[in-house]
Amino acid sequence: MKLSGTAVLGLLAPGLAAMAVLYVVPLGVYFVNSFHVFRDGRILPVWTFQTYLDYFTDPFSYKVIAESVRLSLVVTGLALAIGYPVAYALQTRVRATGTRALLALLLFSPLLVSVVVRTYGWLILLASQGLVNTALRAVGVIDEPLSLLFNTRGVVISLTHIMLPFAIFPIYSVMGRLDRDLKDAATDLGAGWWEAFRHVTLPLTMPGVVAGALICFTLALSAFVTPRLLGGGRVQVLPRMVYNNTVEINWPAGAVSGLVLLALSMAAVWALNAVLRRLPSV
Amino acid sequence: MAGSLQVLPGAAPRASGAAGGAEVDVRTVTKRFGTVVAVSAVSLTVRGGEFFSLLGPSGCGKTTTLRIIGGFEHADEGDVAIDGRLMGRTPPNRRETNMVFQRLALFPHYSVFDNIAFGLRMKRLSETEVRRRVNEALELVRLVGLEGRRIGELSGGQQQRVALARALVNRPRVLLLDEPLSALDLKLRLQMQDELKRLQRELGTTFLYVTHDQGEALAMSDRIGVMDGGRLLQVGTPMEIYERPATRFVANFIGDANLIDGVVEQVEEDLAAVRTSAGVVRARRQGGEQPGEAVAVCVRPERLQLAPPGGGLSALVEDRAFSGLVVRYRLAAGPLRLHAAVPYHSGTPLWQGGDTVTVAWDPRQAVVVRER
Amino acid sequence: MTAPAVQVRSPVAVQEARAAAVRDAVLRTTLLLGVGFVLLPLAIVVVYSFSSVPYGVFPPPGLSLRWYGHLLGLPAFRAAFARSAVIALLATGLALGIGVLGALALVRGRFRGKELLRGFLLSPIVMPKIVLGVGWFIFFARLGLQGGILPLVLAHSIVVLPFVITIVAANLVGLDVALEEAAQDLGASTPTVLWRIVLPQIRAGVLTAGVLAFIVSFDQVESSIFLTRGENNTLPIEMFLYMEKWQDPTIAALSTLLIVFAAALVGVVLLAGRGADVRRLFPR
Repeated sequence: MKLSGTAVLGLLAPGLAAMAVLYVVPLGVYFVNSFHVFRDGRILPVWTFQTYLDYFTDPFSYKVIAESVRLSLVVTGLALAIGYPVAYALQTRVRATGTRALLALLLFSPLLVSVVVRTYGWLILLASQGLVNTALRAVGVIDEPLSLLFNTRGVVISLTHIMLPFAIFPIYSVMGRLDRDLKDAATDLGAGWWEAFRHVTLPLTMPGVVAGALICFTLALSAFVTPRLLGGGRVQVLPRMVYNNTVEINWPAGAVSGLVLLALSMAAVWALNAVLRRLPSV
Repeated sequence: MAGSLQVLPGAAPRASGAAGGAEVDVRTVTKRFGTVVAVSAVSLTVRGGEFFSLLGPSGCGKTTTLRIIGGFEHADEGDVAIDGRLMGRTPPNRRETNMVFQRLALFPHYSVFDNIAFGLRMKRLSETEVRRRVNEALELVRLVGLEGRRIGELSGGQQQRVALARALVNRPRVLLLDEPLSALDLKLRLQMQDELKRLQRELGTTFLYVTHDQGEALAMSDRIGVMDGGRLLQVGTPMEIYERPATRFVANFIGDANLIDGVVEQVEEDLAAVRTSAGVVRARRQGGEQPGEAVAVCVRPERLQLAPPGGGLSALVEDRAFSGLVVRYRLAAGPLRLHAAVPYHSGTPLWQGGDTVTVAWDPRQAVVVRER
Repeated sequence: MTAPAVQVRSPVAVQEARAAAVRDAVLRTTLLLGVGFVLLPLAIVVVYSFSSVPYGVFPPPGLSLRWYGHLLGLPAFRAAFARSAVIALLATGLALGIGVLGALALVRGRFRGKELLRGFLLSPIVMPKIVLGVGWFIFFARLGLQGGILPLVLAHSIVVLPFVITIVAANLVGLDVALEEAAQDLGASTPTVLWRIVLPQIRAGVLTAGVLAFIVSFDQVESSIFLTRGENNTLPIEMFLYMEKWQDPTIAALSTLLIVFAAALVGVVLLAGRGADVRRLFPR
């Protein structure tokens, strides 16, 4: 059914109004605050780049940015490395659609529970007397419990867990759209399993991998709860900076660090989208 | 397998040195998917260098049989031998067969050249050799000049030919084709049918072709195997299948047929007398009919002769349709429904709905058909 | 018939068959390990909620329901749960109202800049939630609207809007336009067609979108942490604050209940039949 111009406008009006008032304006206010300055416990509503200057001349800022980016890259890499084989196995080794749907649901299920609950689960698992350490000691891999909490390691493990479904599903979805005959054709033409995978499956599932990377990276970059609960004071990431600045009423600094976070996210989105456009689609 | 050039009568020898087609022997193959029997004890032998079609409606098992020959499925019972060698569970990349898939399965991320070159590169041929043979293949399917294009930039017919080239460039002894023309429009389809036949003649490769279109099968094949419900019903040349269908299903599936049920009354040398609701009717025997057996007499619509009323089988014209070459009549002779297709030229007497006519045919133009 | 057949099974073919079997086993194991890894934290939380001791030890030395009892004695959690549920309900309602209309415009409308608009409406998903959180904090502070549930409802509706639009749009794309055209042919106006023909067909998708929106809103932390100030904490924030101080299994008991709650909601969706494939939630 074709919608007239007025109809379209009418349908979009509530959404546009809501977004304008509740999304654009708050972001705008946020942006404006970055130009103010925080002195002696008060925010001076002046217009200056001073806060930006203070931020970018502080070596600590770069340390935080580096830590955030590094953490996100590691987590994204791990999530994709684990997620790809899992998606592949789910797509190709599970015939019964009922079982497949069940497994997909199970893989998706952690997202239905708050990140607080999931992080808490890791808090228990990674404790010095928790399951992970107990199991490793029982098997004899280690003698002393590993220190996995209140440092980067625990954060990496937990964030990878949180990102995993976001890595699995885009890859799984692209794999599902892949023409089954393509693999048969490659085999028919003499390719062994590895060659068929390398020449056909892998290149054609790249769009899924890139989409997964995009989601994982941006979500990991903006993660707050997990680094805070599992990282102790040692994991300094951008969202943490934003939070700390904001509760100390240093809104301008909070705004600047938040905008840096936003800029990094946008850069990642833009870069990965550019890669995505260049890939052959299925 | 050394490449010996097989020169077929009337065809120019090809410099590519095709080794001639292999014989494919399907031995009592059965395949089940869960509780469904897709292929039921099918046995047939495709001769080397033959254009053989597997014909039948959707779901009859023809594609599954083809895939078993290609190595994409494993038979639950029975086996396939290619040139006398049992295939067993040999995977597709180790068989001397190549397949043209129904949906073509061209690699979307490769150019035309790279698609065709794929099999050769898997064999680790030198790039010079690869280039030479790909160009040869492009010439064969008449796509020279398009090797740099992406698959998405080609028309349906061109893609079709790329798929063919990609398979043939590897000089398979057996080429498997899974309804390759079903996505093309009529004109293109007829064109491609000619090309396929020409190619097969030139190369001498065994072509094993699966289709549900009986006109296609009749036009292209040296021999046809008709399948239904997983079973192979009849194997023969197009002429044999048309003139002497083995079962009711085959008679109905190939061309149009009038099937008159009856019981065998008397068996003569080459005719049989069958009692039907239209009286006693004679038709050619196929062999093995017994008096008392329930059979059907198959008369093709074009074999029915209509004459003004008077003696013989009387029928009422129910409907008439004109289609250029023929005039089709729907007739009612008592409880029987018959279709006649009378060749048309100006001057042919035309009947219309409500007319009564006499229907007759030459007994030698009708044939007795069994149930199964 | 041909000469007696010779069975040729080259060593390479046998090797390949074995390699395939190994591959199979490795992949299946990977899948099971993957599922196990994904479920591990949730499973441990449930186990831990029945532990008899307050510290983190595996395996727990004994089983007990004491933490559930302790939970019942903490009114703050009960109030936070109710608050989260109300906020989620209201935010979902708002997002569904706005989102369904927006999705209709995006799928059925023809206008320039549609893709840009779609990108804009879906952008809250890629926004760092903490940034949005601060933005809303300052915004509502300036408006003098701090406290209570209104800022949270409004903020959450923006957060869940992209989810609603994506799912509803995916459902709309699959519809047969001919039905709407038939209704128009029979004299129905545009609003009537939308209300009587289009919406009933996407009922299941709207339900799925609603449940997902509810869950997402319920679980929000970063976007809401600045909008709460003790007396109006949402449940996740209440839990987060508790966890910073104490780590006894009371949180485990609460988490277990939340897991059951989420499972029940999903059960509702599954029973409703054909919801939109939730995987379509993820872009591309």
